[in-house]
Amino acid sequence: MLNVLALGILNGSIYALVGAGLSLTYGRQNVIDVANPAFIVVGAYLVLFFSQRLRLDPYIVTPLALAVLFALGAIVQVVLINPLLSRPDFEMHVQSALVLFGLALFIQVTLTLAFSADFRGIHTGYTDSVVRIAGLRLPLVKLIATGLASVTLLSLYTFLTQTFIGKAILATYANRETAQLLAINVKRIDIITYGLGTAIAGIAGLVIALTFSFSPSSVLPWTVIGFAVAVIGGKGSVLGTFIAGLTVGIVEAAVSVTISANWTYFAVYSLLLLVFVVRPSGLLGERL
Amino acid sequence: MHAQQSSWRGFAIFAVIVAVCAILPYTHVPDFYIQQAFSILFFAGLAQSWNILGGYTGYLSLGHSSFVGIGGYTIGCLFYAFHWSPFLTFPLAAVSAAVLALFIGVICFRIRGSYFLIATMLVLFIMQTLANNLPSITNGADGIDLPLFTSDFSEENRIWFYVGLGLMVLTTLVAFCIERSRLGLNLMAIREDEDVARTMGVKVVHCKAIAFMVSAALAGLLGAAYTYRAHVIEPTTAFSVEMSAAPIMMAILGGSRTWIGPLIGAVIYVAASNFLTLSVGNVFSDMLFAVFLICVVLLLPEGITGIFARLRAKPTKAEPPSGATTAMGPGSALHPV
Amino acid sequence: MQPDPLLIIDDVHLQFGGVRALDGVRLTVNSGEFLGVIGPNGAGKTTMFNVITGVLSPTSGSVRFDGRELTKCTPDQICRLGVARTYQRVRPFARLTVLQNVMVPIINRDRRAISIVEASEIAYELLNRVGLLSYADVEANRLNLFHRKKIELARALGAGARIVLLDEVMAGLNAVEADAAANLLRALKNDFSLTVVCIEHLMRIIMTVSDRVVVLDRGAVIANGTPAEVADNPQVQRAYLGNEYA
Repeated sequence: MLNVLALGILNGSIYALVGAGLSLTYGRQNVIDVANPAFIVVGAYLVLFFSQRLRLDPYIVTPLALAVLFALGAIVQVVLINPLLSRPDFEMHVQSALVLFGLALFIQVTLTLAFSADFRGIHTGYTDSVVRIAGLRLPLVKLIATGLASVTLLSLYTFLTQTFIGKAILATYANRETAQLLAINVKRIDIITYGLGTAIAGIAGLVIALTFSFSPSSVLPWTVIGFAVAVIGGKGSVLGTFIAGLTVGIVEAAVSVTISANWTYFAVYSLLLLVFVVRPSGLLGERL
Repeated sequence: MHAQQSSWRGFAIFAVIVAVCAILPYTHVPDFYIQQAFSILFFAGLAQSWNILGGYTGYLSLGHSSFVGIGGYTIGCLFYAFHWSPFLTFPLAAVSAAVLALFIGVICFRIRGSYFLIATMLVLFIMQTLANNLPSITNGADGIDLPLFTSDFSEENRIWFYVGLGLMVLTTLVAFCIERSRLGLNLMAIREDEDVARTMGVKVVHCKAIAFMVSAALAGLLGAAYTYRAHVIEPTTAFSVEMSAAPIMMAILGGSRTWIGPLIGAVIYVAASNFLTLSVGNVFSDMLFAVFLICVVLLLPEGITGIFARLRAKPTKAEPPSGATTAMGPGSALHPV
Repeated sequence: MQPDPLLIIDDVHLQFGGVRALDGVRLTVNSGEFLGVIGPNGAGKTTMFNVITGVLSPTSGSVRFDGRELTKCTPDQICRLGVARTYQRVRPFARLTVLQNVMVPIINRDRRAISIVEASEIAYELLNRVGLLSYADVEANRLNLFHRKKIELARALGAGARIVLLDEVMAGLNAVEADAAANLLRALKNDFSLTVVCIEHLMRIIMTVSDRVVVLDRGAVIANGTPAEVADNPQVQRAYLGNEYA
């Protein structure tokens, strides 16, 4: 029981990472980004692909995958999102969500075509090892993944709050007009933000590939998790993302232990719906 | 009188086309095409029903399949539990769908725009998990099998063709009537500016509820038909997000502001998709769908009928400030303004 | 003109945190009169409108329209009572035709169910009165500002308004349009037995077209009388830091 909860916490930090990229791009300029989690799966496949083709360790090829994803993200921003920004606010709101939804579907189909619908995973020497700490049995991979996730989130937080670009991103997030007045090139920030969000999705992809199996059909489940984290955690708040991730992980663990494993998805969906309806901007994020 | 509003003349043309189609099963058209026709009719009806809330009222829902699914599960569960013939329980599909709509509306109508879109999608997923997790009612992931209607393939084909045709005509008739009614005008006012509409006296909650329930009931009937024809229902296909997105894409493609749009959109997309499947295979039709969705929203948000409307209205471009001109159109009796 | 109070604003206070937006406003509007409301920026004129139409709730005080206490009503209830209001930012239903725009309030008049055919006839007549008949089938967002303001007027008439609150309806109009608007307003007021309350900055217009003028400054009424009386009031002149008589 305690073991399950501990696993829940580990999972939770992974979920936090899954939602981090989304949290960065979510709700910006009234654009709901449904496509970011799809890039997580893309990231997973890229890491797998590169590591197999180049015969290198997954960790080493990751930067390459991240670069590709950043570029993809930038392209998406320019090609798909920017044209919509000039439309009346209300239409833009819905249409961007639809377009990104279409993109997510497109990604799923492309992955199926390119890599087949089979489930894959990255197997390393330590995939099946288990670590015993304080009477708990925890998979080594999950611990490593949690470590990776935490490091990434911390770096992201530092980047956003300490560097100039990071602060520019947060400023644009908070108030677009003011940011423009402060001589911030908003359009370029948009591209960087989306690229960054996609790249983070890539790291999440690496983590996912290590700890879970994945297939093109994983797009949907991860979208929901990512969404749950981003919504519960709030727009652009790394701390919120982390807390939300843990929440989702713990809820999932608690439900699977108390009721049954089947109902975990129901619990997560319902929780997400509740939060979404009551406060779409998220609990710790900016008020809409 | 109402140049902009759809006229009965347009509907008469539609009726003629329907009448022509009605004869098709008794001509030498191959059975295969009659079977495929159901697809077009189904999606036309689905897009039309979606459009009542989406196009007319401006609340785009990504959860329309919830009603298709619950319609199917209504006849399915009643058969599974009590062995009641789906033929008799058919109308109940509309009722349960309408009740579900009321429920969803209470939860989701407080938010708008893309938030409503996503929230309705979440509801869809919740429905799916419920269907999976309540095996006593729904037989869980195994699904429910329904009896065959008749044993003759040709006859079965014909029957479902007419059911599909009937439902498509029904949904179109409902959409057409709403569009020309006071409810329709109120819905469109809500779509344009809900807050101002409220101050103009529009009973916003009332109207949204009716639109949603009507939209849902029609989808429920379609769901029941679809399910019965397929003879099986199970959670993943009953509450599929692709089927939820399809009517959105078709309605926008054809033009979501009138009753003609969803029909055009459905015909174009299903025809293109079938053509592609026949020539290159199944997988690419999913690709086509995603591409269609993206392109339609990006490039053609007004839809095909929107383009025609714009062409027709061309003479009156947005006008400059009136300045010193005092020219007014004919018919203004009182003032030289 | 017999004073026949239609709208009574009685000692209304509205506080936003530390800001006293309305500081004991006392105002009576008589039936059938054209009341101009002037005052420096930030005096609370629009806020007062917002309180009347139910958008904002006053901290204290009452607003009585035809005997009904408005502060206890919702905005759409207030609309149905016959209080119509235009906004500084003109907001017609963009993609509906001018005719449809005017029909919306007509079909939602509480008193009896008006069929859509009958509503369109009434709408046509209203469009005729304000001079928009030739634009009946044009989408509202294609029209220029002046015509869009007329749509707002027609909508107010369509709602069966008895009192019309105009918030800087002349803003953005050039001199010719503003004069035309003023004439149109007076004519409509007479034809439809309306009471008009008009917030304005264009002194030239408001002083010539109003029956009575009220001056707001810092959330309170500092002058109330005929245009001539108000123009000569030293307090008013001070409030404006010099005469703005155009």
